[in-house]
Amino acid sequence: MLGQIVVSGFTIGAIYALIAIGFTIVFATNRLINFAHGEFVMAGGMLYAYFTGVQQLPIVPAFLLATALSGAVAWLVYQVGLSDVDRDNHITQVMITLGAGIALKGAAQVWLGKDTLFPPAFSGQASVAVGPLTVSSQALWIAGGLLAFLLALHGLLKYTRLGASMRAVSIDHYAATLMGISPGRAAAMAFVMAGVIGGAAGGLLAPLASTHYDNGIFLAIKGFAAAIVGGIGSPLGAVVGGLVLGLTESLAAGYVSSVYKDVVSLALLLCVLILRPQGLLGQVLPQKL
Amino acid sequence: MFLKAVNKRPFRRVSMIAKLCAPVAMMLAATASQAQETIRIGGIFALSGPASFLGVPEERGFRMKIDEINKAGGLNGRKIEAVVYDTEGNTTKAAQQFRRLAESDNVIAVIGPSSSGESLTVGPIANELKVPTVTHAGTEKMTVPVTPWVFNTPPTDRVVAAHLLGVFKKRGITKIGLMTAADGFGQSGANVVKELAPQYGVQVARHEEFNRQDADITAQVLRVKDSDAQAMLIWSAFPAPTIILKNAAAVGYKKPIYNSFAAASKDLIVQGGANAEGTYVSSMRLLAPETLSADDPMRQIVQKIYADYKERYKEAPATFTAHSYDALLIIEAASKKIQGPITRQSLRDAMETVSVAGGNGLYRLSPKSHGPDPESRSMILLVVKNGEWKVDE
Amino acid sequence: MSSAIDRRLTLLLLVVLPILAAITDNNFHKSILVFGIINAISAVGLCLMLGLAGQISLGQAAFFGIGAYVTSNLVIRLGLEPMLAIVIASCCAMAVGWAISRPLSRLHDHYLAMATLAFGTVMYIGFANGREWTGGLDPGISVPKFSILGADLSSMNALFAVAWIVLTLSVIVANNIAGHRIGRTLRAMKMSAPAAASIGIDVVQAKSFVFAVGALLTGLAGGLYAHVARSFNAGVFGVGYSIELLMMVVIGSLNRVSGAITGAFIITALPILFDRFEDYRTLVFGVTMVLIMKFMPTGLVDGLFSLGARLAAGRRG
Repeated sequence: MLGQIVVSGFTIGAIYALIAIGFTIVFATNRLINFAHGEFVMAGGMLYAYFTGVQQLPIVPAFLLATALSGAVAWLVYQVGLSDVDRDNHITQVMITLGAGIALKGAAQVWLGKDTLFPPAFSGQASVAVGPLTVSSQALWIAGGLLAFLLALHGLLKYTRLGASMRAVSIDHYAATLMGISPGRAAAMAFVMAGVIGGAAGGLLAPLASTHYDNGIFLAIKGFAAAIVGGIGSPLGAVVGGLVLGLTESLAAGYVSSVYKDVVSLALLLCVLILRPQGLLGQVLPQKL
Repeated sequence: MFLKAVNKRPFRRVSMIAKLCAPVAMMLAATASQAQETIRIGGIFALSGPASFLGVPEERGFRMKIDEINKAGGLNGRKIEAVVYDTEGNTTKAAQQFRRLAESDNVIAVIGPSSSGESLTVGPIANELKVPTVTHAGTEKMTVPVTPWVFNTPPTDRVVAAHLLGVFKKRGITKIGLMTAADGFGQSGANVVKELAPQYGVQVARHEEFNRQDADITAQVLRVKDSDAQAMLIWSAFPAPTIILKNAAAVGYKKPIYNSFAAASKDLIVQGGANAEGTYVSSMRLLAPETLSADDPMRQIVQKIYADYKERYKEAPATFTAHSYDALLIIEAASKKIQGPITRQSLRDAMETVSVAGGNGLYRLSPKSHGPDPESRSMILLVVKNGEWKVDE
Repeated sequence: MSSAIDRRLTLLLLVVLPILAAITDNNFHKSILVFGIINAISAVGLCLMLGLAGQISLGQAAFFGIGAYVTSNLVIRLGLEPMLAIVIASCCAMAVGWAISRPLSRLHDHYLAMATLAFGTVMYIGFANGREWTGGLDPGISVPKFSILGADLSSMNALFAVAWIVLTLSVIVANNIAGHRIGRTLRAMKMSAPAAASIGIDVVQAKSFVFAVGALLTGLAGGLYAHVARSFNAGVFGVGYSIELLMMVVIGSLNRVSGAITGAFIITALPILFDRFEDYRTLVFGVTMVLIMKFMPTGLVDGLFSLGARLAAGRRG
């Protein structure tokens, strides 16, 4: 039973990790808690269900289209909502993302429908036997997706000019401006990436857990928690945080009490915040006076 | 003699005819003006939020039946105007919207709300403002004890649980694994199953909870699998039942799986695919009307609801459609018994004399009974065979 | 905060409310006013925490719930006088607020937001599962009619009067805090906690104080809510309410008491006004929020003032 619970924990953990990565990238470049992030994930799932369902597209183009559209939506949210707002006014920006998230949810409700949908899994076979354990084939796709995005992100941040400018902005956006880097462009790209990765997470998750216009907030909170536990601002931290959170939840449900499993993960979060706020992999940011 | 009478009082006949005509003319004028006046019926349903699986079909049943009544001339000649609000499953909103319907919109009756929590908040307000209200709550507290202005159309959680426990008893199942959602619906099920189980010789060997929207419920399934439970009972709305079926199949859980009426829809089969084969559900009759026996007193009305819904909405109805449909059936039957104008008081009084067969069961309303007759078996057991729901008892 | 204009505007709002309640005959409209006032009391609490002291809390629903449940249990189980029960319940909420602020005192900004969010969620799970005391999510808990010393005060008018009095007291408390030394301490802490510490301000103590007051006011609102709604379940005290409170305070205007009250009424009334849009409600609400924040980033009250000032200047010039 332990083995199966661990498999289950890693499966959800990988999803939390994918959600957390997008959230943490936006935080790093904008110093902003993006309350609309959960809706990017929801959009990915709902659009994937829409393209395979109503539009009857095959799986691969549907998924790619859904992911791309989520990225576009995220870009739109940034452009319309945040691009001309004072970068230092955090609370206003948070409110705008909150409003944008609600608007996205409302849009999905009206244009994509109110049904709970289970779009097709990527490969036909439902589960794969790995020794005595069963792993759902979709879980393997999720793990693969996580790895792929991690590698792509690492490559982007380390080897491209865009990546360098994003890293610069995340360290100090005033200094970056002095170096000739446009924080607005880095911020916009961060949003697009969050939209793409978040949308992919939604699309990967939907065949497993269903998609519904309402499930954005539920996933978002898990993503925030994972990002904080792992160390906000660090994509690798997001992955570690996601896996740790998923595993904790699954173990708590299996061995402590399924009623209070969320309390266990929240207690973990609170402990991390109280004892080591920068998270497992984060660095202590100097506090400005 | 006749001639003498006419000659003595030349205008007597005219005045007699006039005296006869006047009240008739007044009555005609009254009904004519009433026929132009519409009558408002309010609906408060959970169209979004965790109880939307109840509210959405209820609202559709509501509008469908109102259109049907209007096509047939309305209530005593008056067309019905529907006023609907979404409560989002929120008790505060439900109470607010009830007051709005009662005081701003001046409705003659209110149908809904969809969940027990909302209904418990709205009930006292209905009695305070004296508006006939037909709630769709699972809790029996709406009709036990009976209050003057509140009626309820669904079978109570108690009736549903008793049905399932009765099935377990008959099949020799004495130990079950109970899986409930961590929301109002799941909690009400957990409460009532745990309370009634001993009476049927059933023990809840394991009780596991999960969030209705959880992506993976394997851990809880494993705990039930590892226990000595002979069957699993899932009490939750979608998507959890589908996910549990998937997780159960993946870990090789072979024992029978039973569901509450929340899973009683085509969705379980469509979403679950092969995993749903062999799953049981306790459901109201509306799920599989063709399989009802010929002498079933509800067969005719159930098949009518099914056919009408399918024609209008192009898909099979969810069983909760019957909640609001039955409410309007009762109101329609009640208004036929009213001699004078339809008011809140006259409607309420008439409703207490109605006897109809509805989609949920038989209603024999009286000052002591404001819900479906417990003797009418509202629930039947269905099983998934070859991708279809079939009656299994 | 607590500037002369703010105080005058708050006074205006407090005077207008009973006038509105008097002119309408409709209990539905009155109930909107009552719920608006209850939310305003909560919002004033958060306004002190966030606007004055810069402490973001996404867990206020927990204090709202403590206020509601403690009041209900005291009235149902001990037959206590409702007003007394509400006061005791608010003190309980205050104690919890004070206690929780201690371990969280090192945190700021988004860390504090996340921690308070986690705290709020843990309390919600407690409410939802503590069925013995709370009735959980189903069936919830029901409270008898509100009364003071035996006099039945359960009518909408009476409830409005009681709520209005509590709001007025809360405003007086808030303005006093903002206007005195503790207010200046909190403002200093908001601007920069390390700098404040360096001049001898006990930051932990100050944070605990403002958390306690915020919790007290929100708990007070919760106790009133229990008696106005008379029947409720744990679903009321989820993350949604904490986020709504945040919206109220920011949309109104973060550092003004009048802003908190205005924001509270807007967030309470807007969903009802938007009901006419049916399925489009959520979309319209989200877009409205974005527009308000974009065009008036410091909130409506501030925005309207600066608009008014510009118009006045334009006319003069």
